[in-house]
Amino acid sequence: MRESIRALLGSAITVAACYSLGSVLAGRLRLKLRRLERWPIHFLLGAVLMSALVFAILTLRIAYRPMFYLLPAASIGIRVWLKDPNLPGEDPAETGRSMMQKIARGLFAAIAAAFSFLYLADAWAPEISPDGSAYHLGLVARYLRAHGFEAVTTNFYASLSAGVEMLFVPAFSLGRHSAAALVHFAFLIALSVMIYAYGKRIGRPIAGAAAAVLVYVTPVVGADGTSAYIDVAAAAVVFGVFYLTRIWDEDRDPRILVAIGLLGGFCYAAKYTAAIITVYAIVFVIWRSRRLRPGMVVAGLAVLVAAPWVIRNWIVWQNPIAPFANSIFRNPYITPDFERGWLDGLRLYGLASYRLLPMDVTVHGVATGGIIGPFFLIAPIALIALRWREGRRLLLPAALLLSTYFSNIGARFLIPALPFVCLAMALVVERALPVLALLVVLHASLSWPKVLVRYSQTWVVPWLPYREALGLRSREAYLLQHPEYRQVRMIDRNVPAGERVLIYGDRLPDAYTSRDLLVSFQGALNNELGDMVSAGWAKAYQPDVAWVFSFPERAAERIRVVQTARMPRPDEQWNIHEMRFFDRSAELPRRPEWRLRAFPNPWGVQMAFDHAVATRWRSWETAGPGMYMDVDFGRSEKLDEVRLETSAGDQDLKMEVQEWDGERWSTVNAKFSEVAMTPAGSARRSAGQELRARGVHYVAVRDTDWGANSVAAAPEAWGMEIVARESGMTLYRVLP
Amino acid sequence: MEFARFWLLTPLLALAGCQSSVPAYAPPAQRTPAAEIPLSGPPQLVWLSAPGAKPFVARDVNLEDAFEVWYWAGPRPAVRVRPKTDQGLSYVIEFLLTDEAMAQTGPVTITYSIDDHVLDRRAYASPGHYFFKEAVPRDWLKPGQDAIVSAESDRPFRHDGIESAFRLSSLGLLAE
Repeated sequence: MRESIRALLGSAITVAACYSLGSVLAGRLRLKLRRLERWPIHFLLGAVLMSALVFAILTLRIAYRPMFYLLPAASIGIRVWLKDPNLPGEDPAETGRSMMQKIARGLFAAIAAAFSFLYLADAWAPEISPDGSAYHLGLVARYLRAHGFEAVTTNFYASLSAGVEMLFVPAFSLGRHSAAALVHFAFLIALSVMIYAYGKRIGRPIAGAAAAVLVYVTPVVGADGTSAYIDVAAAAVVFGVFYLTRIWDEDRDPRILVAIGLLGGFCYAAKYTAAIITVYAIVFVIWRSRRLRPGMVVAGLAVLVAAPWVIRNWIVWQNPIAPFANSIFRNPYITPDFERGWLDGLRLYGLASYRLLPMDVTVHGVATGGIIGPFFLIAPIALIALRWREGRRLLLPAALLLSTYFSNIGARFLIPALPFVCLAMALVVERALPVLALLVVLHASLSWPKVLVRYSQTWVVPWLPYREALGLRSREAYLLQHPEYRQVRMIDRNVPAGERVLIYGDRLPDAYTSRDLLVSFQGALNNELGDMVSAGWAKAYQPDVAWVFSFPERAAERIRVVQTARMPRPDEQWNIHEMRFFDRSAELPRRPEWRLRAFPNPWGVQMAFDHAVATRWRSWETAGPGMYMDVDFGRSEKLDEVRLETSAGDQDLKMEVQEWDGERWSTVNAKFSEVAMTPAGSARRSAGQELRARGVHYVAVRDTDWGANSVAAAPEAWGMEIVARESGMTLYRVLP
Repeated sequence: MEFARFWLLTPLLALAGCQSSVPAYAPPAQRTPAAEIPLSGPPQLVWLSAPGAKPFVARDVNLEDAFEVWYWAGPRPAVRVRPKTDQGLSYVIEFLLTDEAMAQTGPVTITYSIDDHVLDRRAYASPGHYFFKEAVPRDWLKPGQDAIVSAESDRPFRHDGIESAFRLSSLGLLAE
């Protein structure tokens, strides 16, 4: 019960603090908002400020719990002290409603109430959503343990902008995991209220109410908006920007531009793809005012709000827009190869063809991780709204937001466009009010969890976990129903504090452990550690061929091997297990004076010079002309052979040996031959030793991970021992 | 105007200024190759590509025909295992049903057995990577006493003239 109350209080305090700050800001800007608009827009504006303040607190490393009592208390206190700092907007007089309109409104309100009951229980119940409990809250928990930002360069999710997660920080500090989910739920309510308010503002209240309900009950919106995700929050901020541009267009008050700019910047802070609405806002205000200055005001403030995230990434990740563009901003933390594979995966989510997408994202939800509901199969009727100005105003931003969708076809990525599409659809059908009401009822019925599970295998909000939410039933028991929670708790119980654990397969809910989990796909170091374990069991990861370049004996101070071919497939990398030099069949001993360089991935070059079977230098991007591995001997060395040990799969590579003559590189006329070889020593033991050498003393492997049985069959052959098993996962300790 | 131009150029100059040269490193500590640890007796779980696994293959696995760690198995592959315990043991098998196989056989049913006990039967309709795991009744196994763990396909086909069923990487028992 205590935990439940804490969660509710933690979220309520955070939301109240955001509202208070936003209210004060709106008052300073003298925004004239209508009654219904005030709460959501004040909340959003306050969220921008609260997020920035928490960012500063984490940067200064003063994130102690009292700070998160002080900050909301000060925010709420200022708001109370200033009484009502806001100017009242003009609420238009309510016109007479027909009986049908009254019935429709009543129906919509009843549907919204039923879903709210459901959603509140889900948001308040223990948080165990996949992304929420893994990285959104995993990172928040980690920053709070460190009392500030940590350079978490082994998890690329930490490089994403985290404006919304900054609001989870005080909520989590005060009320733990569920408090963060409840804060996100507040964004869902704000979004829905704004949609309704927008309908009222444009004189179409029934369309607004219908659109609000349509968005609110959409399955993926409900599942996401009641978890510690950020997509619904991003959608709310996006709609807030659009909304404020509308108000500005009516009032032409330049102070509104400040609010637009701040929220526009927060779009980037919340989610990179949401920033496209900021571009829309800038172009819109320039176009409507026929002046550059309003656009510059919006752009300038947006940059100001977004800049901390860009600067943080540049400092920590050496890439201002990490985790993207890693082949431009090369860095030791995220590989271009990972980025390519990840983005390829996001473009299709395993679907065989885009033709399957409409049904998957609306009905099945097998691949796209959620559905928007079969109702949206008729979404093209929204295009009829192009006939009217209001419709065009909605559909242009919708098109812009959808333009980024095919870079990630997860259902969640449709959420920002849904308010616009739903409003446009409602405008089209509004005149046939019974039809509109029927559509809303149909969508709500098909989205009701008990119905949804009958036709879809998708992400559904849990069915009324009120007992757990209220603490009448054990929250821990609720979490223990989830195998991944049991697995992460096993790690927490068995791994000493401060240790790193390599997770060889998919991620775990990091938010429930204080151990440093290195998920094998989440960072360049993790990729390398995973590569070592793979080398222990997979032949493709072991050296089996030596590429030998022989030439007449010569004295050289610096030699390099350059890759010259273009690869036919993007997944073809250049891998070098060992690079060796020979003179009259005797290997040149590696002296400490040697200087090793490689391009790309200079940070991994030592792995081609360590004699370890399980390590190798990899380009970690598609092999291309100009890549090289270069050794400066520090003095003149006689040699007649360069040998690269690699894998037989690298058939498309072409290489040449070059020598540095003090001024330029010249090609050495070398005779090339391939020699089959077997790894020197045990690849399995080498893998264990290399993990340990990098401070990784624990490995967790699921039974279903590739190669899992190789370790399970003989842990001792890997230099490991079984520490514990839980729900199909084995935790191994790497022995000294 | 000149001032505005300066502000536009600044980010570009900053980007250009951050182009670093390729760092150089000294050779790291040189590793000594570690020898394999040989199996002292039948394991609980046989990883076919592990050094020393061959003696524990009881039948129907072609250890000469591998792709990576996947070996062609005949219709009734089996391994000899020695359980260390009789508690919490599961039967485990990891295999591939290849496109080539499924094109010739259509859906197949695989029967999972330990000695003469049939543990389960499963039907497979499409090619793919399969992992089967199921708890073994306690009285089927005795600690320290060898058992034959097998899988039998009802529809073998001919691969390179040899009766084959699927590609196998591992088969045996896993302790919970």
